[in-house]
Amino acid sequence: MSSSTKFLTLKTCDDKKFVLDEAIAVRSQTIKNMVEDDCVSNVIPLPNVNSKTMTKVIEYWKKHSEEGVSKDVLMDFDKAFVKVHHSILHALILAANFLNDKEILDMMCQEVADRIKGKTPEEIRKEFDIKNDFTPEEEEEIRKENAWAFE
Amino acid sequence: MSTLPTDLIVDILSRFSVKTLLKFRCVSKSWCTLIRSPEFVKTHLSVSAKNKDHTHHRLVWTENRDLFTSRDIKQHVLRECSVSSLHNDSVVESLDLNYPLKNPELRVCIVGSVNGLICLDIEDNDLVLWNPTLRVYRKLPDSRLRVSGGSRLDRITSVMYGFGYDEFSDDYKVVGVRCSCTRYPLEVKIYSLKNNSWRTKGDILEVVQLTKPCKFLNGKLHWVNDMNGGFRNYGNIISIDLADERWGKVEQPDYGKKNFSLKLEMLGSDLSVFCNYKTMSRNFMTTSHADVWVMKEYGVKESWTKTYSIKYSPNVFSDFSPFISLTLCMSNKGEILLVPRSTLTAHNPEDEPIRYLKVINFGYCNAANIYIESLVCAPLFGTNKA
Repeated sequence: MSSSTKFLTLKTCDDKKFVLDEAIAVRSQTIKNMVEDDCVSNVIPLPNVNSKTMTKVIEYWKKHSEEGVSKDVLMDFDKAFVKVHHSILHALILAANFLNDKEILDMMCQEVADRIKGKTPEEIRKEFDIKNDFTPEEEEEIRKENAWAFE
Repeated sequence: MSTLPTDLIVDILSRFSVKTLLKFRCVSKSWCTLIRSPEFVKTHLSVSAKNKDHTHHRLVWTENRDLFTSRDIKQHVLRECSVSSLHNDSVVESLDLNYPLKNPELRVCIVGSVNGLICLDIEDNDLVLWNPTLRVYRKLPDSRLRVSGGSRLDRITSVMYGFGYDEFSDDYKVVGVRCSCTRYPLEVKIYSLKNNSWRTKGDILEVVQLTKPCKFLNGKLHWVNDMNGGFRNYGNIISIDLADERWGKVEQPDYGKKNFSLKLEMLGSDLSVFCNYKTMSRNFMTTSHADVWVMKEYGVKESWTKTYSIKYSPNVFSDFSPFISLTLCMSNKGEILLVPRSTLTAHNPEDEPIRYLKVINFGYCNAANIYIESLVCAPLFGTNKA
């Protein structure tokens, strides 16, 4: 490793510290802006991200920063990366949003979309813990409006 | 999921088809309100429009009896198929569209399509704005732009319509031009969907003869203004701005040769010209080849680029009449779709030969258009379901 390599320390909300090559950490637009604005002191606090999620994010960043890694290997890596419980998926989306990493965000949002695809409204509510606040009459009304879409 | 911020839910939901989103309105009140909101409708439309795989793009075409029809077509119909399927599948399904005021006895034309809305002209008489995905439409009041003569020539050259969207007033507009045939004075009328009425436009350009199709982009409607039925050496491209209603001209490239006819098209979101070159052979005027020119930067003459060149071989392309030939859209692989009347083809400049597409129940094509499936319906509210 060359002597010019700079390291950043990231601190997650549960007080865990991650020491990371700056060149990798600036995959996050949020961190990049901080570095460019020169407002990085010793430690960058990430109040919205826990260590478990950050570990996943760094795993992704490192893999995608590897030199000479083939497209196929990355594709397989991404495929495995998104296969997580929906609570982790959820946390990763929020983290990617906070870190402003469009690549992870887009991949995770697509994964959520793929999981919802083909599901009925009931199944979606169940999977994502959404409360049905319609009365049966109201719901029926909406179904009737475009009955053909439910065929 | 319910605790994700709204902009992330928007990000996720904007990836779905209209049909799926109509179902998703049942999930909860907040999802329903979100999916119905004008902001979401707009976001969804722009995400769908940018989709590189053309997942939400549909090709729609008319099968009509007309002067050039050599086949025996019994009915006037409107058919559609998926554009991504055309690019990717070996066999493509097509559907008979159940359009508003459908009557197989009456000729149906597509005036234009914007934001998922299609404007149809039925027998040069009734105009409708229609969202085929949501199955809602509105019939427009009579423009009274008509020619009383019953001759075939009158019907073809009489009134030209164009359909577009005025972003500044958030209004959909139809422009009708009755061209200056000797017997009828020139007349221009503009319909506003917000006012639901036609208004006569006072200042008139030196229109000679507008030719179909009309293409909408950059807030303007465009036609080729042609003196001589497609066989003139030079045709203007004229435009009308839907916001300030001013006429304009689009500068064109130097097409090089002398004998050609022009046809306006859209390639992606760029204005393009299909230029058919003609030669005399055995006393017939035939087309030798065609170039597709694309204006990469709107209004910049130097940005016109010759993107495709298509050689006609008499056997293969007998169906490419000088009158009809269409460039439609470019896939992510750089293929463009062409519809030489009785077949659908895809053409890749780097990869000869031309690919013939198998579309089930593809009979014949007079004119084709692409529309994007959209949730845009507010302007049509309170109107009819098709």
